[in-house]
Amino acid sequence: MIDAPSARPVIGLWGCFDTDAFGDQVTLRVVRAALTRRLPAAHVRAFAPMGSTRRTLLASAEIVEPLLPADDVLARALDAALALVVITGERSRWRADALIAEYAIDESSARRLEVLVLGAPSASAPPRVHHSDQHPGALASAVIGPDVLARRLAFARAVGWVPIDGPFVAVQVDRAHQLTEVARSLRSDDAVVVVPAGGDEAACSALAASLPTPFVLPPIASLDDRVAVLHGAARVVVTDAAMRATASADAAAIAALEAEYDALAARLAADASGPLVLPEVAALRAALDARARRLNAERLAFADALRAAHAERDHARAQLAAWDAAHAAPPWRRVVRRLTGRG
Amino acid sequence: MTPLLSVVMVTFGAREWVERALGALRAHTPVPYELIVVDNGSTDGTLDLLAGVEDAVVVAAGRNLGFGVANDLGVLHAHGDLLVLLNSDALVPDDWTRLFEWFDDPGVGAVVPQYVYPDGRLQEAGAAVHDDGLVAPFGVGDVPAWSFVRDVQYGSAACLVIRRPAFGALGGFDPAFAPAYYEDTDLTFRMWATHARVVFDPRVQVVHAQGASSESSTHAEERRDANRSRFVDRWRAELAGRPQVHGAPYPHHRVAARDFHAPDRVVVVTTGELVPKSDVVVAIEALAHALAHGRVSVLSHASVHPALDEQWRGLGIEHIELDPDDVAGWLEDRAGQCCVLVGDDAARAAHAPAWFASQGHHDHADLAVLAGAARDGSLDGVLLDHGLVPRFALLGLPGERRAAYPRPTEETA
Repeated sequence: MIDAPSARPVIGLWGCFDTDAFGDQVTLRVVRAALTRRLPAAHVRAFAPMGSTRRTLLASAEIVEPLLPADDVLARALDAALALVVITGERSRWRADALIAEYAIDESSARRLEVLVLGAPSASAPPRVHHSDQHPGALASAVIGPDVLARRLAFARAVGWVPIDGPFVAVQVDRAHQLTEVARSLRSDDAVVVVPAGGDEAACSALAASLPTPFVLPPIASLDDRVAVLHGAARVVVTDAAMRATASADAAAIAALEAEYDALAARLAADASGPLVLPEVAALRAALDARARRLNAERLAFADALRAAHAERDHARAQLAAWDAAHAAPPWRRVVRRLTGRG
Repeated sequence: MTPLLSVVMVTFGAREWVERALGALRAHTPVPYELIVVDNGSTDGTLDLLAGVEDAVVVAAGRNLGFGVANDLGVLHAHGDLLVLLNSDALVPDDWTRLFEWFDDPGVGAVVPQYVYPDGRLQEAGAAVHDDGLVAPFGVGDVPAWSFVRDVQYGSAACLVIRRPAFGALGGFDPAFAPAYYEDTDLTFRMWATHARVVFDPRVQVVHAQGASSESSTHAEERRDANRSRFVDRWRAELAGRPQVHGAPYPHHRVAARDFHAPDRVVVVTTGELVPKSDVVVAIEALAHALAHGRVSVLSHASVHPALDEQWRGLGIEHIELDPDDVAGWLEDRAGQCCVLVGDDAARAAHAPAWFASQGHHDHADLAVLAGAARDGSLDGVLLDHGLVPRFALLGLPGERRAAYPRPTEETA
């Protein structure tokens, strides 16, 4: 369901995010985070041909909306709702024949989707559409964060997906004919972990079979697990471009990606002001938490001091009462009272 | 809309309890859910039992991965919006699905129920963590004082409900705490560090045998101590100066620990009847709705109307029924622990010396003024005047978004 126009600018992030391909899932994770960080007032909505209706293991729990049936009604609704469309992935993947192969859809649906994403062959891309051609994997480890990566690598070691300790080499191959080349780069004493990238299961199985004691990441390993293993490996030998980009975290690639996202953000910055949104609410919550800590500490110190003062007061009162009992009616006063009837 | 639910259970022997826990889950869960069970190498036939459980995803780890790692493994099989991490010796009651209602609030990260022993004794009504890392469960032998909804520093993960994306973003349980102890404490502290609330809801009472599914080991104490040290090393700055629950030097420490995440505390003293829709009750409930991080404690001579009891527990309102002679002592015990003392003329007159003595400890407010503000919709302004943070300020959102959050309704007002 596409909403009516909102006061917040809405960015449509389009990609094949409904597949178990490592590269697609990294793209969704990184680009969404990059745009949200720069445009906190914007709402980034992810779209894929089938969306979350197609269950995948690698996908996060975030909602991905479907682009099919890609008819005129949907096209008009998207046009009205989205201030900017960021299309990810190689253009060839959005061609009708590639879509039919990936999604097993009929030809007319595939043609409509191709036109929706890439535009009519004769038309130039509208200004609000941006094709992001660089793979954003270089930013993956920064987006996930060092603490989570460390935790996920420790988990992978604990369940035996990678060696319990010590260095290891992360490997992956797309095609069987690349096996020899990859195997040649490994030393006999290397602990080797096979990290499938999706769609390469046969080649990766063959690779594992060719190794003496390989570790293999199972299909349920999450995106974070895969990035953690690539990030934590002593050496990475992979043929998948997205994995290479992720493992390298190349500074030049990161700079180029940051520049691309900065430019995208600049296109929408003027529209992105407005009510407080999640990052600002988070900042507000942080401030309120700090206030709560201060109040708690001050109150505890105050109440402790008050109780100590009360204890001192009670002790002094008791002492005074005892003194009074001992001195308030001395014998001479009793004598005076008896003699005078006063005192 | 009911969110899709994934229940993750870790088993390690205790076949009889596993059977009971699964039976309770099946009998008391009227919404669709998926069940994922990770077996940590049971040798008592538990795996045979699990093989017969219809539609369950059973992951046989073949060895004891520990509680946290096994849960992390189970979560990788989950598809639900919400995760329920359910111990294999925890029996859910028939109304337990009300825990999921909390997740309509985007500020809530996790929810825990109240735990009771199989014989009905209270086991844990939320818990606090001391500055030395010691976990101190609330409520043992002291049920009424702690049995209302509130944010807690920590709640055992015997039946922890948590958003799946949040669990993923935190990286799950930390394997550094394997095989057991303090992994759930660490998780809830990380959750609070992201400013997501951990809510305790005592209206749901889960029977927890506690320990029935644990490895019986003479090393358990050593493991607990080792992980406590690890936990304290990690959270030293956060733990510094936390109030004590056990061995507290003064009684106010227990309240300070209980209301650690509710710094805006209002005490209402009233001599009037507490009946639905009365001015006093409208004002009290409006206060509870309006405070962002608040606790409303009601001190009365009369018992609360039965119709209000459940409602107030759900709103996080603490009710204390006290003899008039005991009010002064109670106020002295709470000295410095509340922000605003609210009363009507009769209450002020009845407790004049204590009221006067508390002038230096709290701000004071008139109950009639608050009731009027609650009626005419100006309560947020009154709260700000007293230095209290209204809920709308926490959300930081304009009117139409605020409207999505709980406000007094015709029924409650």
